[in-house]
Amino acid sequence: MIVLEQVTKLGEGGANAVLAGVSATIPTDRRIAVFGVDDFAKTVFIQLLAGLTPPTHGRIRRHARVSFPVGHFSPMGHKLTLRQNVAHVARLHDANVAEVVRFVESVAQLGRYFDRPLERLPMHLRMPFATILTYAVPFDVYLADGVLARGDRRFQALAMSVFEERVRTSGLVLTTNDIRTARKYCDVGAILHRGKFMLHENLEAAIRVFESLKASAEPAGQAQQAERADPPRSDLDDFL
Amino acid sequence: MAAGDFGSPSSGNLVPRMPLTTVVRRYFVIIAALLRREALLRIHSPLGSLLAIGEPTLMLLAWGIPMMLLWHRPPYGPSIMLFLATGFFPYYLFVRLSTRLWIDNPARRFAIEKPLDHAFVSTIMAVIEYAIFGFGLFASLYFLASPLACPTYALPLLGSLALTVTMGFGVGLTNVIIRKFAPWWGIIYSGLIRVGMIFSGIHVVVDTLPPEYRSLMSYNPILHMVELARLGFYPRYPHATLDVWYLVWSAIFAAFFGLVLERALRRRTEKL
Repeated sequence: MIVLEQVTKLGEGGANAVLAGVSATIPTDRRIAVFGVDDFAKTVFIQLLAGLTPPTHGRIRRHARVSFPVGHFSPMGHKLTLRQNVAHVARLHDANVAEVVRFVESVAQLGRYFDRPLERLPMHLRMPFATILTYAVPFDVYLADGVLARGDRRFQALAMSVFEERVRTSGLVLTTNDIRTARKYCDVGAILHRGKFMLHENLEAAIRVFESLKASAEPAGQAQQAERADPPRSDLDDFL
Repeated sequence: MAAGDFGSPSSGNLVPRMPLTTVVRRYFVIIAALLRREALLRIHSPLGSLLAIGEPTLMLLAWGIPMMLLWHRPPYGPSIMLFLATGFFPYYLFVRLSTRLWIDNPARRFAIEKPLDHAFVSTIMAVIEYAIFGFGLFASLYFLASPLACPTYALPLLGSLALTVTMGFGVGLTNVIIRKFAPWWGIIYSGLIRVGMIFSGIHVVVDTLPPEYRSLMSYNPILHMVELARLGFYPRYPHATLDVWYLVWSAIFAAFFGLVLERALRRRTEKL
């Protein structure tokens, strides 16, 4: 589980709290879809869970093997070969190095690039490579910011088949606005809105809240108008 | 089940405790992985490591050759080069540690890596680099200059190097934190520490200096590192100025201060 203790995360310049004094326990053996109308807040939320950004106040404790966000690329050594990078990531996360290297090599099918420095890998292949690498390491829970697979169709198909295999036994925290994807892969819903975070055991209940939030935020794109408007459902009372 | 019924942090019994052995094992796995990657990166880009050992080698030649030509007699012992090497080695080990410690920002590392892991790894890498360099340097001097290049007493030498590493780690960590707020500090510090070389007793036997200079220079902990290291090579080296406890407490204080500063300002530095 991932435990949030009175976590506050302020946006740039101290405004727009992504989380405002949130305490919650996020199960790592469930597949959670996190909905929210603010895409920036969802990205920051995933970064917080992954430890890529620290909370402004409060503490996050991870009592599970939490993945880095799917496709997270920046910590890789650009002078190292892909093989060395894969081995490093596996070693760092205490996974079977040979198994992970073999897996990425066979699934990603990057051919000669696999033994070349990462800096020579074409840009369009970097994200797909990092995506396959994320799924190659057995984590207790995977974190995905909106996208489960990147790259061309072939890569996406490969990544999704690996992903589906993984989430049979591992948890998932997926930030998304795509209800179809959430219904397909998730069994729990959560809402992230105006600094509040609320988990719903019932995914459909979370979707209903999200749709209401979206409907109240959308008309004429007027944020002020949305603030004035009465929430259409009582579920929104927690957030407005 | 209603919204949010997943337990709260206050229900502490939900949180499983990891056995200490697992925590320690995982820590060593992370450090070993980071060390291995650093070693690979240095093999791929050896310029940094070459500079790290190139500067002391160049300084040794730049000071040693003129001193041999002008003075003929070494300040102490049979060889000018050996005398200088016993001073430059601990001094540059300290410089390396205090200027080249690094901590990547959170976006540039995996969540499993913590800031201090990077600090420890860069310290260990500097020690490995200097162990190899020191072995090569003193082995060369043993064959080319004097058999005294093989240390006679290991304890003072190892003690000096251990305290140099401890202090270098502390000062290096402090510098990393300062550089996060003021990037220009790295240039200022590099200049200051190199000027400080003159007051570190590398080129002279400190006990032969006038008392007023000696008492002033004795505030510099690097001078005590150099004096203690020389006792490993020259058993009768004059060391009236040496104050081992001053060095020990300086090293402990520097390491403690660096660690406290990093912990206290971590939230702010991680945002930068």
